[in-house]
Amino acid sequence: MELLTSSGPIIACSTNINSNTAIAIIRLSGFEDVEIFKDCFVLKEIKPRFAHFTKIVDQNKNLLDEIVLTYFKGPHSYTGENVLELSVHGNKVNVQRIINFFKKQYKFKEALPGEFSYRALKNNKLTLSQVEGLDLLINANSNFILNQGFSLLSGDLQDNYIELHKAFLNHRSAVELSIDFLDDVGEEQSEKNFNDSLKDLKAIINKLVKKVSNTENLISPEIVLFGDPNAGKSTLFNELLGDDRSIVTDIAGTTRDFITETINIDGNYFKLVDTAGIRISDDKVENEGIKRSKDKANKAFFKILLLNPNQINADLKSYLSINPDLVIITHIDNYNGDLEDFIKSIGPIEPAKSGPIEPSKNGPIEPAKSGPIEPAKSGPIEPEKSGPIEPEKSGPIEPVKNGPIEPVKCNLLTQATEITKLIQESVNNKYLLATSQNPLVLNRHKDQISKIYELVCNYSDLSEVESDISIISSELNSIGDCISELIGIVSPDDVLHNIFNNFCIGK
Amino acid sequence: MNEFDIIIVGGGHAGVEAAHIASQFTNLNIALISIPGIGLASAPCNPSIGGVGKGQVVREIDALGGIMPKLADMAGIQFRTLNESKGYAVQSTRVQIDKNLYSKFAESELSKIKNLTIILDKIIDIDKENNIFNVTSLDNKYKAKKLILTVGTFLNGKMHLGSEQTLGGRVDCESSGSLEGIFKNIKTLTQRFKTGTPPRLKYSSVDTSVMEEQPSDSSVRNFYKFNNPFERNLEQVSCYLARTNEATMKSIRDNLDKSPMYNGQINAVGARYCPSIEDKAARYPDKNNHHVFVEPETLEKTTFYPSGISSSLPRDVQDEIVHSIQGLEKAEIEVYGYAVEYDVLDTTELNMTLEHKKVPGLYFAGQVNGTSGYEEAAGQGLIAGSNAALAIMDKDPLIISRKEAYIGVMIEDLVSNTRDEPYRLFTARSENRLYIREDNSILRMYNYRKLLGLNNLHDHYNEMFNNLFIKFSSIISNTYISPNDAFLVNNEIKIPRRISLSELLKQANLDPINTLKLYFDYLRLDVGEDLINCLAISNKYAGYINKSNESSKKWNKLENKKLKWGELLKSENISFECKRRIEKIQPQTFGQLSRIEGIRPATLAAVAGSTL
Repeated sequence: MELLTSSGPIIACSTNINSNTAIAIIRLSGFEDVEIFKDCFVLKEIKPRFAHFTKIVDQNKNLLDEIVLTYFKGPHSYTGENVLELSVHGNKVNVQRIINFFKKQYKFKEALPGEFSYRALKNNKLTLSQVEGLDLLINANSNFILNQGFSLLSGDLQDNYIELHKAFLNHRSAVELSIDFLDDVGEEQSEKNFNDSLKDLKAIINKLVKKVSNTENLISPEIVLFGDPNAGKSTLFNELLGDDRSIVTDIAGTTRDFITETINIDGNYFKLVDTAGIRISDDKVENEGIKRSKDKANKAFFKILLLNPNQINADLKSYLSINPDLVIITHIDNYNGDLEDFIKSIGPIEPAKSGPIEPSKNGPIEPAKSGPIEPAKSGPIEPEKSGPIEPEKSGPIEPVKNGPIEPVKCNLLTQATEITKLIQESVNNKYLLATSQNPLVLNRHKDQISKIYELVCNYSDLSEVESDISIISSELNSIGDCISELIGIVSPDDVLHNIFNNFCIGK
Repeated sequence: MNEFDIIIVGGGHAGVEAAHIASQFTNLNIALISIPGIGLASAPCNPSIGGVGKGQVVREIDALGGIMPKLADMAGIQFRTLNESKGYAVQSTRVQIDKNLYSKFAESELSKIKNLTIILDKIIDIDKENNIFNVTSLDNKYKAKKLILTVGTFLNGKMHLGSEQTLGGRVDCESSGSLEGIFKNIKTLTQRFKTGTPPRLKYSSVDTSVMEEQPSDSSVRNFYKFNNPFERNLEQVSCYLARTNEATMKSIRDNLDKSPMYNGQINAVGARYCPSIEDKAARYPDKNNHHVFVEPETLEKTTFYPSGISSSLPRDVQDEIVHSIQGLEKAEIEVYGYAVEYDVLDTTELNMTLEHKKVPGLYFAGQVNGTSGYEEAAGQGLIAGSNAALAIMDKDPLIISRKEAYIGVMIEDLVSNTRDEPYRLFTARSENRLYIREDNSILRMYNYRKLLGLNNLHDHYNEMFNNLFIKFSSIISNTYISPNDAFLVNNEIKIPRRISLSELLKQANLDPINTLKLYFDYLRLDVGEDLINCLAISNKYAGYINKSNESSKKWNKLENKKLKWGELLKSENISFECKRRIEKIQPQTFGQLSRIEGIRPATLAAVAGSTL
């Protein structure tokens, strides 16, 4: 991490700087006194929270630009410091010239990624969760992530965490009360306090742990195509993409690395990944590629396995161990055997698991329910309606259901439209299911909540068998540390480090 | 003749302890100046020593060579272990004392000390000139190199009983002036503190037969390490448990407007953990049943101290309250309860030796520092007394880590934060509760005591105890026992396989202390009671202590990291507000920095990053 150490004035363009636009916004933060800018803005007074239509002139009174300027006096600003926001003409050269002017004339430094938000955090304008929310919001590629970003930023989620923290403090107080004030409170009351407050704590962490989902990577979900070389992955890739991004040839093993493009399905963005074919080969480069494609497939949000019945070279089991969401049997037109026999030879295909994690068995807390999840109410999808598609030659293509997967037989060239539609529906379905319970997406939160949940379960078990309250209470410390870390009350430097290392937001 | 190395002003528990430890440095000439008319180490409030957390402090004082434990045993009339059902680490000893005898024993013990002069005089002026303190009374002038002020509640003390107000630090004496009058640049808190005490009841007018009796427990170990563990100096008596009822609480609630605390007459803050009965009535409107511990104040059965009904309501209301309680219907009040408000020093201006940062050589200890409790006062007295003596001899100071003693917890809390209510020790204030116990106080304090360089009887005892502990600990870890060993068969103890003695003592169904005692008996080893307790309990907790140290390693690593606070003030990453707090407290370690109120996580993160 580049250290965000300086506390001097910083400047950055907050809007896209890579192309010419009508308006660009330049932000300046951390200057001592707005008075010093009176000359360059040609203003007698710069009023806080007031839009001034004015101009910028350099030291020789040459006009640099006409602008709209707003001044936010610290601490009532985003960073908590004095902040100026300049709406300038969004020409690239113009923006750079203005930034250079402030760097030279007023000793501003160009802000590092995240530096404005870091200052906001440092000055208690944002909490740790809000910074994370902001990052999520700015980089969101789906409505769901966008909403979760807002929820973090507005503090809804933080409120849940604070509720957890309060319940913990209540319980901790009950424990301390029973030790330090037993004479005042009495044995019976002290036991009741202990049990009641522990019950509350368990109820809240139980509620939170249900939000922790196993589903990999909802922030930047990937759809991965894998399977034999020449099974038709690149053809399908191009079909889904709608142009000729991937090289398609008849020679097995053309696609040696991943080819990634972004596609939009029903308003959400997915990364579509074409992997190298999995095949036993002497080619060292390709073997490495095969390993990586397996890894890639394992971590993907949606996995599509393509099988060419004419040439099953690799061990079929290794494909199936990846647990595909969809299996497509291609090249059916030039297959000489019985397709049904071929499908039987594959055996049942277990789909990838998703949904909430299974909590530890010994925990007295009721595990989160798994099994079928109701799609979100707002979801536009109605799978029943789309119904089976009737292609002319090779029979119907059935949409994906829960339970063992029925392979889809298709001719990629003649049934391109149908298969594209089927994939889009399946992906969309899975995404709606995965997000229907508003699962947490940030790994830091997920890990921390799972850890707290496990600690609370163990603690609760211990409190039933151990009579020595000093031993029981010493277990509370680690729960407290975890909860504090979750809400950022106490932030060991590595939490901060992690967050500012991982994000790069709007300067 | 009136020139001393150290003068201690104030003859309460802090002053007595300071004078006692300082005079163990036999080359120094010490004086204790106490106000005439009150005995030394008197007990103006509850007549007991010890309690939860405080019992540990008394044993720490014992291991450090103090006098409170010895006096408590000599004057003890009822012994009890608190939290007996809660586990060893949070069990504490409490001793009811005959308060007259306690004071008498304090005087006789101190008067035996050759290099200690006890002076009864009222100090009216203090100044410092060429590094010498001039201490002046109406008739005398005294000089000292170091001065320790242990003036309790006497700074601008004002007493309240109903609407009556009198100047004074307690019921039987007048107050002293303000500290500002003496030292211009020493600050007291703008918020004054308040404490109170319940009415005292004539012994013969109380019907104890209708109350729950709490007899003295003969299995409780004495405080003083040189005493035979269970031999009592005085006859033992009982305490009694009574309860308030609806009528009690109604008469308080009906008369709240007459309470100085509620009608605005007192502006000072009292401790939330030690509420007056008015506080309880107002704060818990639904609760009428509060405990009242009825404790004898002397062996001569003169008066009872009804713990739990401290009050400053007018006399007639106090009569009503007392008479509503079962067993106290006919009780006669000898001295009415009252509240006292007083000035408190801003302890963030003290360093860890309790020396004032702006007036080198001047130390403060006890209730003037905003603490409550005799034990807290004595603990500070011991630290101030030791450090004043060590400073004269140009030796390293005595600073006890909060990880090793409640005294350490208290001193660091005092100097790190401005008090907003009287400070009392609880076990909850320690992060290391499993380790800071009564049974291992000698192990914990051994090295600190040694640092004083006194090498007297206390040190010899500590050394012996420590060495034996190491020797027997190794026996416990290295002795293995098979299921059919005679020891197990004789005592009908069953184990599934060969295990170490250490593991055997951790078995959930065995009492570790008794089992270890049986084992040493079986080996015909004569091992002292104290050592067996310490060995068995240390063995039981060892795993848990390791585990809790492990889990908080991230912080522990940082905890003791030395800081140069001056450097932090130059850092660009620390906000102005945090810098001001750092400048004021001058934290020595990262741990201390992290406990300063208002220090932001970002500051901690920045400092952690740069010290690692």
